[in-house]
Amino acid sequence: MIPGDHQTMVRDSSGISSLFSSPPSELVMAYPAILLSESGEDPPRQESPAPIVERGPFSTSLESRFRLLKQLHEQGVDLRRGVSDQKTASPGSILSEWCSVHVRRTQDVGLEGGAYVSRYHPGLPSPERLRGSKRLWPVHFVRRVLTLHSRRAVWTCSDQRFLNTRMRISIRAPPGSDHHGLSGGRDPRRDP
Amino acid sequence: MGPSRARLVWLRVCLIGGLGPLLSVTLVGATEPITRPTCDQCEQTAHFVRLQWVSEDSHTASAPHFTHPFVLSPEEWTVLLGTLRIQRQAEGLLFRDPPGPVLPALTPEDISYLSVALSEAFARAQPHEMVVFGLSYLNAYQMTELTTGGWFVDGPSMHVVLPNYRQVVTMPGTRWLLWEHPLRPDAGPLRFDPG
Repeated sequence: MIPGDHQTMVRDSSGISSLFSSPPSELVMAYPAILLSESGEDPPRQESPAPIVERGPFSTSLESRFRLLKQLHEQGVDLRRGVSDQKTASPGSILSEWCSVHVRRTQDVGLEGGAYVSRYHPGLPSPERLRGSKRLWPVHFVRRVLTLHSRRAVWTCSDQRFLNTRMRISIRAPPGSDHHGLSGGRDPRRDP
Repeated sequence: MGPSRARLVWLRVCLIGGLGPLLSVTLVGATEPITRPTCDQCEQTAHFVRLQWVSEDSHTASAPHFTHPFVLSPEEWTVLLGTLRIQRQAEGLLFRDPPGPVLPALTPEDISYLSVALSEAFARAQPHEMVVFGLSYLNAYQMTELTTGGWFVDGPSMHVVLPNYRQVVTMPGTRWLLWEHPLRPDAGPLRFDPG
């Protein structure tokens, strides 16, 4: 047997032993990896796994985010150890998109648990600990919105049942954005 | 041979002739898998998908406590089913025939049916239930071929058990046996070809 990507044999009916007993072939598929690799278009490969910075609004589609995951995977990032995603957001932007999409994905594949916020910036209005339960998240909870009140917010979305994916989300206010309303921190450009 | 002797012989014939089938029926009945249908279109003449209770002494390698129910869309099932490849192994002990080509394990029609049926079945499956299936074909010689097997999900791993692939069945009893016991191997050597 030649093991392929995301598939392994745990029992093979071929070989001498099958002359006397024929146990059924059993194949194991890492289905999340297969679905990730099959979703979306092939993104352009980069030479080095540089940090990926998405700019713009947080209404990125589900497909583009899984393309991002696939791109990270192809760059050799071990999704089971963590995925860092850095974004920029203008103050007042809605922040819940990554978690919500992740949970929607969780809901799609029927996995229990879900994402939770393990860290949050004190500037966020709701210090929610979005620990997943054994039930899927209700929709109204998924659609919770948070607003960026600080220059930077970092949290981790984690789902140990889905590739053990742990996404560290870093949201930063873009350079040159309006800083009024930020609740703390200093501007490194103005206060070097 | 007196009348008592003839009566004894007759009794033996009756015992052997009667107890044999009775014993067979009893043994088959004792190992009859506990199954339940999943949906109306899942159980048809040419194919079926149903749920089968798995006992602790099951043949499966993993502990029979699966991550069920499990929800995937038919589109996602289509992707997974399309990755299955099969190859007929070399047969013969001394003078082995060459192995066959690597082929898709399932036809587009199979995938079209299974993607919907498996999606519904897994959504209803309990932790101690496997999703078993059977597909029936008529080959060019008007002979029946059967593909049977089972699926279960264990965390991030999806297991596919395929005891019979395109197994030619000529006797109605054999067809019934495989149809009712889809996890029972009755085929020659074959292998998955991991994609």
